[in-house]
Amino acid sequence: MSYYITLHDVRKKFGKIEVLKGLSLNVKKGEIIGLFGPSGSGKSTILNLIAGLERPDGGRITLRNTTVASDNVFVSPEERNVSMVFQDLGLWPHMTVEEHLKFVSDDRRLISVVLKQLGLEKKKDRLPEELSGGERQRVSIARALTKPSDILLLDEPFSFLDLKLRERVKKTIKDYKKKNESTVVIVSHSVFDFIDLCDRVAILKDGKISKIEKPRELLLEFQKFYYRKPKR
Amino acid sequence: MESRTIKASLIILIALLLVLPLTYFFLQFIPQRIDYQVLIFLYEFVKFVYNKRILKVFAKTFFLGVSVSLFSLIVGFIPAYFLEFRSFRLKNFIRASLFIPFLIPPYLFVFSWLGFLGKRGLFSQIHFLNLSIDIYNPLALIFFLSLSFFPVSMLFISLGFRNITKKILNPIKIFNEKGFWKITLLLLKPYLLISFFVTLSLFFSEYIVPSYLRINTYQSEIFVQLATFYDVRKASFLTLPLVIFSLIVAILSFKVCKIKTEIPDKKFVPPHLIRREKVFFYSFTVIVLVLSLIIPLSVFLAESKLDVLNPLLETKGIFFTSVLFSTLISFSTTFLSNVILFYLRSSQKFVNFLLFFTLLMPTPVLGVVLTTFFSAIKLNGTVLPLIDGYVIKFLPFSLLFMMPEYGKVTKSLESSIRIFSRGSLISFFKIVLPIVKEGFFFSLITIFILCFGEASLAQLLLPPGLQTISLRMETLLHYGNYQAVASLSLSTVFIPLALYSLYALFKGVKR
Amino acid sequence: MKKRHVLFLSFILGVCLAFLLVTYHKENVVVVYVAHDQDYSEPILKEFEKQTGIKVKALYDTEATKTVGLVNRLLAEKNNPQADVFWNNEVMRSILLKELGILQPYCSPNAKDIPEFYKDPECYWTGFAARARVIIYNTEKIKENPPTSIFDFTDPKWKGKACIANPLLGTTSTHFAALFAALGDEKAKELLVKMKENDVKVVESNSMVRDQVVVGECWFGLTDTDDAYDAIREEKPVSFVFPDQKNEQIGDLIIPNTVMLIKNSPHPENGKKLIDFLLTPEVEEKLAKIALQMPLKNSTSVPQYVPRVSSIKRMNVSYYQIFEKMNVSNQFIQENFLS
Repeated sequence: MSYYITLHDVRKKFGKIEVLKGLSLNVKKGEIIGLFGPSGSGKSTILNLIAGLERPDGGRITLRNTTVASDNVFVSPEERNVSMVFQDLGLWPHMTVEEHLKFVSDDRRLISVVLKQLGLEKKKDRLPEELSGGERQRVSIARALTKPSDILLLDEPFSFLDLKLRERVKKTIKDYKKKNESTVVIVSHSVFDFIDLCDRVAILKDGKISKIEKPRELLLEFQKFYYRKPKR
Repeated sequence: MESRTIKASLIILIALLLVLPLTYFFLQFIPQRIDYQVLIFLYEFVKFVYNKRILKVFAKTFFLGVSVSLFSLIVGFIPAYFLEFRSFRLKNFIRASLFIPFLIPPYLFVFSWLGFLGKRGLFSQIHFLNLSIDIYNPLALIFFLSLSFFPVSMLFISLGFRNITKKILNPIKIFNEKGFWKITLLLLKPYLLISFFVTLSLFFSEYIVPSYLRINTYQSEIFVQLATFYDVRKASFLTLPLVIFSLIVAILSFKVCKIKTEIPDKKFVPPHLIRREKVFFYSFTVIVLVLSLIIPLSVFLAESKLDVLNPLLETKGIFFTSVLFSTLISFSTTFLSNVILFYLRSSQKFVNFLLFFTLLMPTPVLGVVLTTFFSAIKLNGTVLPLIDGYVIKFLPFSLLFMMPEYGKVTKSLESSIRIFSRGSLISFFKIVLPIVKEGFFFSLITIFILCFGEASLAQLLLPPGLQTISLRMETLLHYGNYQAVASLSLSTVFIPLALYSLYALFKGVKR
Repeated sequence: MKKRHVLFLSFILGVCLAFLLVTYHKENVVVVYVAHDQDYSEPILKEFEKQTGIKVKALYDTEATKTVGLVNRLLAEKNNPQADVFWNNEVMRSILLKELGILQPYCSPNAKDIPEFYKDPECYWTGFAARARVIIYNTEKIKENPPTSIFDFTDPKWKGKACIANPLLGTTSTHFAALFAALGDEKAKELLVKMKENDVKVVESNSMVRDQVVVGECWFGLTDTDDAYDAIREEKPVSFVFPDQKNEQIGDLIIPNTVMLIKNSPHPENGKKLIDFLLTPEVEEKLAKIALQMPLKNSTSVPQYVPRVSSIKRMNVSYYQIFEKMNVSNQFIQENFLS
């Protein structure tokens, strides 16, 4: 079987700290896979490596059956055609909401639809500094969803959103995935996000993938942890 | 346009503009045969460089330069703080007034003071103003040049203060109000250091003012090698320590400018001045304005006999040439520095290092280098040598101004630009430039003023038949045609001021 | 490449071409580098344009960069000279340019009646319209017995009251080299040391010497005739004398303008025409009236207030002898006088 996104024996160091120690991951076309693990385990790093924003110190990364990063090859992020929601949003301070989307796409109809779906229509002329945290996050998501791409990377996309908004945004993401036949990689701290969206969840530990589970299996483990009897 | 194409074009441009002329020139110093001539060459070099007198002059000049830079920094820092962190009336007017001294070239600034202090008989006829102050000493040099250069420090440090947003201030208020300066100064470090270096570079470019004040400086020594001994080789030897110092400036600047900064906060409303701050700030501003602006402008007005129009009309062609060149150079240099900082950021260390080579290189030496090179390729007599000369002289300054501003282009911003880019040029114009636009305008204006007042490169590189206003003014000054000089000085101040007023009226300068 | 990129690049190329065209425009032209003061030389060059129809492209020097600019430019442009003619306002740099092979000999027919002393024997340069060194003094400060000799600058009664221009530049450097030639190295060095001990002030230029004397900051100083005359014309309280005119004294330095043809220049024929024009009595007359430059040709008629060169006792040294002493003099001044 050929995979749409593969990471094979990928290593990444930041200074003296080795974050990824020979990580391997295969993602099928059209799959939504979650990345779960403690802070500093390398989740965002994996997304950055897939996007081409970081270069691996070893191993190989392929997208769409083409090697995009290895010892001899490196394809820049501009050429990988991925779309991404950043953990710290990465909004452009001088552009309004609408300008963010117009910068990414010329499709006015699509922009209008995305704005409506994410409840940003009335805020389309505002600058990022005039928005709340949740609104800014929605702009970051809207920007990612305006770019037609078959690989979507989401780095904690719901951290500022309330429950209702989360549901709304998740629906929008599912629509996007369906329309573009996208393969999605999502980082989150919430198990429920994985349940709602993901086909599988990869759990990171010690710089590698320790196991890959279905979201429900992960939920059961969580329940076991939370409802265990406290040690005396 | 692919960013790879742009990067390649930039590297070729830098090679053509800078590397080629300098390499060609310095190759001429290498002895053609490896024989005893090499030993003589080395012996001469060592003997010359280790001349006690020269070393003494260098040390003295360096000390003077550091003093000027420090003093400018202090005088510029105080108004910068108040302009960015306090609200008060006529803020924009005060800001503009404090900038005007920079529009007056240093030699004209000193010329006005010499007139004021009775050295030309202007105020000596008013007996009570006949002050017998001896200004022909190093203290006077520090005083005059600091007053001349402080506006650059002031405006540049203001840019740094603007990056201190509520995001930074609010936690300070909560956790430790006394920690304000500790945190602020750290964030201001790139701006402070670069202000210091820019002023130091401006000092080392200045050889007319020290000679007016009868002070022998290192740059005068270089000038003498060309003007008296016509020894380009010795002049180049003497330039080497300055080139080495330029490279040190480059390394330190890069290290310091790695600090990431915030985008200015438009919603920030500074508090009003409290009583004791009012007393201090207003007194300080009045004193500085009197010394750096009122006195020179009064002398110009008096010496011009209020005839500003006629000298301007007589030199209108020359004025126009100067404005055209200065505009072209300020735009191209500022634009080029931004393109370099954005596209060559991964190869910053090497390429930008190279670009600082000419930061402290005296303009007469640079002029000779370029004349020699362009003569060899038969392109002297065109405007190309002058454009090249101005670009490579002022490009390091523009890079220094822009480097801290690029701290606003955080990794997150950069990442999102790369992911959503629809072409690197579009990203550059639509995203990057708007973020650094304050630094961009600052560089534009400052380079324009520096270029407008520059004479020695123009002297060596202008095609025959053209003249610049700075050359004309220097000539008039030395003929003793003080009235024309004073009138033209007023024009060079009031025309940009009028333009700025129009801009401020339409756009409104916030904060 | 998108259409707008092509348009943008074409625009840039067009601007560059326009610039080049402006400067490479072929016309009947002569290029002259002028060290002489622009206010005096420009009208004369305009007159040449009017008479001959040859467009003059001039590059002027500023006194601040005096001779740094033009001479270094001529040296640096050796491979591709732009100038056809160099109109210098003194002699030493003309000799330097000859020695360095920058000049081409041209014996102008209009130079025949110029005394041999004031022209190069091989026709590399020709002198015309001279200045002389003078001692300018403030008549309010010095009412009688003004200084009349270069040695008066060492007289203790005038301690701290005299000024000179930078002795490393311009005509002052020539004057001191002439002293080395006339007095011998040892006596000249002794004179300089005594001047330093007598607190002689060094100012930026000859015109600044004049200005300092006018306001009384200096009581007297060493400058050139044209600078001194400017002050007298404006009725300032100054007067001047030609130094060392008595029989037993060394005489004064006469400094002619010199004009020369540049080797391999782009328009040599037009250059020769300009040289011929500058060596006419009419030009000397003009320079005499506006700048008190003394004619070298006997045929030139001048106002009464303009002295004749023959009326001034000249230093008994040739310009080539002075040139040989330039380096020695300059080295000594740099290391001992100015430090």
